Amino acid sequence: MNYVPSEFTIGGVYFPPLLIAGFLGVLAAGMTVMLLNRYRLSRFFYLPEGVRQVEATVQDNIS
Amino acid sequence: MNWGVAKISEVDEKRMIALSTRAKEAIKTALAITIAMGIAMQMGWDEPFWAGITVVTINISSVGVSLSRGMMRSLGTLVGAVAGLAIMGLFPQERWWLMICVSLYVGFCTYMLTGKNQSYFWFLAGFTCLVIISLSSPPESQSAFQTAMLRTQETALGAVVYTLVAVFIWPRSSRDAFEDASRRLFAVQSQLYRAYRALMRGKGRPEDTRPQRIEELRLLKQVEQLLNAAETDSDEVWEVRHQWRLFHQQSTELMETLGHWRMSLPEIEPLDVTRLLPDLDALHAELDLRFAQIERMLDGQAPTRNPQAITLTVDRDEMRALTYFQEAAVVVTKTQLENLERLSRALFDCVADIRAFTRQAAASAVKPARRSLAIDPDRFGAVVRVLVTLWLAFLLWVYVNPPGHSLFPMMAGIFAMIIALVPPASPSLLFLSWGGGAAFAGVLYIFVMPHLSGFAELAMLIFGAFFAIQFLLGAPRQALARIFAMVSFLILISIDNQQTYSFSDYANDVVWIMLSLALAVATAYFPASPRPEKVFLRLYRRFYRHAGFLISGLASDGQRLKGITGRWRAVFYQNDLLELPGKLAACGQKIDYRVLPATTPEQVQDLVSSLYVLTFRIKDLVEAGAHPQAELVRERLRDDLQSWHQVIAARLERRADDPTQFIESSFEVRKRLAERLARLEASIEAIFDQPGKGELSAAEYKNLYRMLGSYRGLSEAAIDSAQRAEGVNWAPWHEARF
Repeated sequence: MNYVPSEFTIGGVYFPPLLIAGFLGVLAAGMTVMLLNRYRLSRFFYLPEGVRQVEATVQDNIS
Repeated sequence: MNWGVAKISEVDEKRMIALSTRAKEAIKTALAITIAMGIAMQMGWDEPFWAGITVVTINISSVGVSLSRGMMRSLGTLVGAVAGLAIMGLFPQERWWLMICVSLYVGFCTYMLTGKNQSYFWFLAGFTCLVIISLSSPPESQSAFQTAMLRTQETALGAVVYTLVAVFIWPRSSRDAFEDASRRLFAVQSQLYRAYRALMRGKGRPEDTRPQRIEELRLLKQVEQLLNAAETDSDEVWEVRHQWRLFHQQSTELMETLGHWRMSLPEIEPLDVTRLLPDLDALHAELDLRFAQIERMLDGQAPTRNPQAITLTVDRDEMRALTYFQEAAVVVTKTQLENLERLSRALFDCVADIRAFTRQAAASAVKPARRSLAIDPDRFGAVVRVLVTLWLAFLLWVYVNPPGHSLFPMMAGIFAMIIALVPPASPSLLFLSWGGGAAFAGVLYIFVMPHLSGFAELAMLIFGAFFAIQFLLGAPRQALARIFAMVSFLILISIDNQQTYSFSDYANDVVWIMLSLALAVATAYFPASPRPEKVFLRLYRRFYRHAGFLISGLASDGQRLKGITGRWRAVFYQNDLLELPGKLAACGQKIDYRVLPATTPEQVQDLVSSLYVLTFRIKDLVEAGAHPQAELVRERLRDDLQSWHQVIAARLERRADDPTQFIESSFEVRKRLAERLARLEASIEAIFDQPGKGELSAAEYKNLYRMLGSYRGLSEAAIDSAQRAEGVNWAPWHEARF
């Protein structure tokens, strides 16, 4: 049996699954961003120095 | 005969018709959209919402601005339609070549729309091409032509209907706003002149003039925008539009001259300027009178006296007691004051001509010399983002086929162009405004519209809905959200003559529009974050990189500016350097300072002001270098100037790596600078002490002083800028945010 939902109904009305997934995704992304910014969690992300240098060089040369 | 209706008293009548400006604008917009869509449906045209979208997007503050936007929209649509048909005609069955051609065209339109002129025209030219090609998929010549014609005529219909409504119902002219802004601009410039005059005598502080300088810049831009509008909706302004253009040009020149004068004030502060320039008081008195007369004429009153010619002379005996740098400072100040005298006379003549107080026509506005062709990197970056979005959406359509199908790449491209046109439109603003319009449309589409019959009821719904959106989002700063909400609403209620209702169509439309928006927003974060503080840091780094390159190229052994590549880079960097402080200022205003503790907007504004000064000093140095120097001067001062170049260029290049790092204290740098100045003074004395060889012509003296003034000014400006940067807490700026 395929457990991946392919139909979505609310009160008997069929909705595009992508609409519900997209709506929930935007909501989840918004909450994640709010939490990441509020508690400054990016300080705990690991970014190797070499990658940081490459990123800065690419940005400087493109912008 | 009395019909039993009580006569309304005058007081009640005044109360009844006293609508707020917001309510009046909401009524006008709703009425224009209803009429435009009604005419389109009466004519049997498909997609009547295109006429409504035209009304939504050209509805701005005054008739003149709306008229000019309406004209640009109509012309842009025509050009875009022709381009779309031409591209489809060239590659009807080759999708890859079609996309390449569309990319080149849309890329060009995107580059032009990010400029200062006619950006709305270029936006329409680009996105209409996308609409024509997408709606005609699969490509078929008859449908493509019909789509192009339909879009053009409905756009013209929307523009004409809104123009008529705006002209005849509560018209708002730009003329009063324009003249008021012009008066305020000149009043601020008069205040700045008086403040700098006081500074010259040692009264007041330079930082006290900062609010007026910021106001001056803001009013200058406002006058230009309002002039464009007032020319269109006011006959009085149209008749003297060349003179008003000249007034704006001269006001800009006055701003630059006052700025140069202010920058030179610290160098002459220790000197007794009144003894060095004996006619200074007479000049100031004359300038005071001229400024007062110009303000009087701008208020509509005739002048009571004409400008009197006055010449500024230098007391040679007093000058002999000064050092060479002090002499250079006096010569530079004298030049600034002479420019001020010339400009004030020209402004007097111009304003007298505008108000018809003189029969002598003022000189015409001179078109500014075009800068050499050089690509703006930020505009080019916007082009890259739009094309990446377009191609990603196109590839998704070809290999995945999302909802919306051929409309998906169209909408993604349009959203990417909107983000390029109004950066930084925040993702939350875009999603909320489009989503809000979609939700409102959904409620009416599902629960109200199926119960309507006939155009009369539909018209009431359209009028009511647009009145509500315009009224609730009527503030000028909400213009973008209002346009997005209205356009989303118009697209999703899908009004047509053969009206059908399908919830799945509505839901699928919401999906593909929001997905295409999400794709455009995601690519806006490639390759660098569009957050204002990150953009600020990138532009700040670029400023020092370009400044370092230009300065090192001006040295006597400056190899980097030679050759075609070197010269092109010099032009490119010089043009970009002149634009960067303005971009930094705009960025600084958009930063959310709540996430940057211990940094205030005033600190950032001060830093940007210091970069403006640094830019002018670099420009002065480049211009001074273009003037020929005496062979004696070049030969004797070469080593000193070269070592000076090396120090400045090295500092600028170190700042380019990370302008936020602390390099060394300003005190140490000032000390080294004072030593170099003393060495240079000694070298110059040696030149003039040589018997028979120390004679320079008047022009050579002037060029020498100009060059020395530029070097000194540049050093001071670089130190000042570094000092201001040291005061900012940069650590939070580098922290990643989402």
